Amino acid sequence: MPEPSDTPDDIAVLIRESAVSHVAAEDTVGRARRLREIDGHLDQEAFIAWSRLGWTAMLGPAERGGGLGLSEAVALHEELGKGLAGGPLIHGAHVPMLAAGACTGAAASRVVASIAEGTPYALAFQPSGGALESHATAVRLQEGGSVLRLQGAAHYVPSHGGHLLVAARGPAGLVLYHVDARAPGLRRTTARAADGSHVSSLVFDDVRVADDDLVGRTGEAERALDAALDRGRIIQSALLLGVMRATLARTLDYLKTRKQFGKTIGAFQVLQHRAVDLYVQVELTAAALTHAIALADTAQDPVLLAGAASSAKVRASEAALLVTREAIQMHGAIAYTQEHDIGLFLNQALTQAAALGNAAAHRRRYGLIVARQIAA
Amino acid sequence: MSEIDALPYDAMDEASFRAMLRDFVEAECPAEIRHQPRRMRRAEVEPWTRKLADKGWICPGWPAQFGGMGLSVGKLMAFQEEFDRLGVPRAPDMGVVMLGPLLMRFGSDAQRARYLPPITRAEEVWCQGYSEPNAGSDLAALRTEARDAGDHYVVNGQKTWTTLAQDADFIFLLVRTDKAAKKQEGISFLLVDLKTPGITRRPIRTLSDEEEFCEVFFDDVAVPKENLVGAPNQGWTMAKALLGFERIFLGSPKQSQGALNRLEALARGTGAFGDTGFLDRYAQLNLDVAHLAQLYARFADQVKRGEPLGADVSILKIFATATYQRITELTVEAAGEQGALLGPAAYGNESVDPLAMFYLARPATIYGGSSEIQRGIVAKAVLGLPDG
Ligand SMILES: Cc1cc2nc3c(=O)[nH]c(=O)nc-3n(C[C@H](O)[C@H](O)[C@H](O)COP(=O)(O)OP(=O)(O)OC[C@H]3O[C@@H](n4cnc5c(N)ncnc54)[C@H](O)[C@@H]3O)c2cc1C
Repeated sequence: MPEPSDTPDDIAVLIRESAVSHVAAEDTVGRARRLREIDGHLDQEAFIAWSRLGWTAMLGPAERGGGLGLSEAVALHEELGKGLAGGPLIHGAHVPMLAAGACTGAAASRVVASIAEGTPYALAFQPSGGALESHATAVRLQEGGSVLRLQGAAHYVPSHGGHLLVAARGPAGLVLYHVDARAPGLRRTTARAADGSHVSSLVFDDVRVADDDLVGRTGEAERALDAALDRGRIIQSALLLGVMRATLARTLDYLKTRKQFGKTIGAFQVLQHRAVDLYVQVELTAAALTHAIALADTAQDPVLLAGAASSAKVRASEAALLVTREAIQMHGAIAYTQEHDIGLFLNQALTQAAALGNAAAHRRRYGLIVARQIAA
Repeated sequence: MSEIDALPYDAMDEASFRAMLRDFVEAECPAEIRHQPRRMRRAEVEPWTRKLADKGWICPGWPAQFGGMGLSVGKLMAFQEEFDRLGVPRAPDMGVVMLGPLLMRFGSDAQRARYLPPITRAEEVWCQGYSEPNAGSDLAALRTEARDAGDHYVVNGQKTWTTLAQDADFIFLLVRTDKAAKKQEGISFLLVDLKTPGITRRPIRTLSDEEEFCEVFFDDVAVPKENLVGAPNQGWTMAKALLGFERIFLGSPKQSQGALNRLEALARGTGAFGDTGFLDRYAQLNLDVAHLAQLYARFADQVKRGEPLGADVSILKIFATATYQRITELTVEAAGEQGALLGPAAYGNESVDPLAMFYLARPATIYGGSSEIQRGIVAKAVLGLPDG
């Protein structure tokens, strides 16, 4: 980890460098291939490695090895995205860490410490696709005498091992509980995402929780969760930026080497123009991201943060899908094979574009925010 | 199938002809293999193709004298439309669609007698060996070589992207027979039994997770001289001459219509029609498909009147494949988080697999002449723009 005396910009540079060497040393693209082809189950080793690098803790409290901000996380994930790594780090460490780190329940500091040490957590709050905010949760907390129970369902929960952070509606408002994924009464059905990772639907049927499991109290949980989700989306947009940068770079290499009709195909003007259009989208994403970081770092207003996150996520999702689709087209038949790496980039783009709300969901939210501002 | 039996099809009015096809498909084609969002393997469609073969319906477009149904072009279009509408799976059909017509026109009597009957009985399946690693859009750059060894040819080289070669019995090849001649002029057309020693097939898995095509390697493969179709070095001309009215099928609205139907099922299930953002995008695609179908009908009428198609038919494929892809993209988007998950999901009582649709649509703009190549053709041959 960087020394505290480093200025924030230096830290971002150092983190970027360690991400670049991580991608190279660990052959993360090869790892992404194995995840897709064999079994997308998360490997715990990766979390331990990220923990040693300080990445699982970085967005937590300073005294737990954190204290870094979005700029550093964005720098990290732009590089990890180029290597198809980082998705589980966002969903299994950053988002839960940001949520738990802003809470004061009995279990909060235990969760923070455990994430910092490399134990993955998964946030469960979505009643259905397209739900962006924690208040939508369809899990209810029921108090029966001294016993607390969770009832309801949550979908699109990343399958990150044994620990869940569950957003539940209590009698006085939203609360956040730590729940063991093997708790009696909890049923899980799992599907695989395009990148091979596992995603679960959870049904809570009288799942017992104790006061000791409370992470976020009424009053703080909702705000902590929504801020964590929106910061997570900005980081996710950085990952998508990395995916598209790497995809474009590989495509440009191909355009410069593939020959048809006695020319490198990159000499055909139509392909040149299309490549430029992709480059425009990449740079738009980068600019939208920089703006979103600045807003998020200073914004006290959750609506501003939500607007910034949606703005970045809309652009990054659309652009990443466009770049990866066009990359396939410009490669021709070879990119329609599983052997070729471009498909892995497409699958990563599909997976991250959809998780935590896709472009359509974020356009909708952004549109409503803007419409309210205009009306006011 | 004799000529006499075939005649009634042309005498039938179109409505009863369509009704006859529909009744047969509904009775004989199992529901599990209909409306499938993927290319089916030979073994999966075999029971169905047997039934078609017994009926004499494997080669609807062939003249009756060669064992076809002897349909007029109008009836053939109706046949195709009806089968598409009913979701009849496409059996491996390179022999039916490409090789048969080529042999009828350029083959010897002996070749026609040997190869055509087993195609009409669906007993021998063919694959198309044109593309090579370095000869895709620029097909004339192909290098697989057939060396003249007196009474036979010796073939060396590699073909690739050969659709369902692993299910085929034979391959028809474009091979180089004269390395000194201009690119297009040194190419010959050769028929090869895939059981010949020296041939290796390696299936390739696609993004759709299917082994849909193969690499085919030729290592000193001996091919009898009698397997050459037409004269030596005439292969390019023959292959090109065959690009007849079949080109219209590449621009058919059926893939778009099928995908739109799935998108509608999904949107009904999620209630997305109540979302004006979705409705706007859906309406545009609905219009695109409708207008595509109307444009297609215009070209189809031209074919039915017996007029040849011009280069302008390429505009169908350009728009049909782009529309098809955009529908699958909206399907993924409308599915939300589910849109990134592998496998079908239930929407109401229908099942939709957005990702499978999305993957399957990707190569439509690559095979059969990429959209870039098609645009180049239209720009020059139709709009009269100069060469770059
Ligand atoms: C699913 C599938 C099935 C297939 N089945 C068969 C089969 O059964 N038998 C067979 O022989 N082949 C088959 N093919 C191969 C197909 O014909 C080729 O993929 C196609 O010709 C394109 O060649 P390529 O893939 O090598 O791409 P390339 O020709 O290398 O093209 C790469 C990119 O460059 C563009 N490009 C190339 N030239 C130009 C130009 N002059 N101007 C502008 N842009 C250009 C292309 O449009 C494309 O975007 C199949 C392909 C696919 C995807």
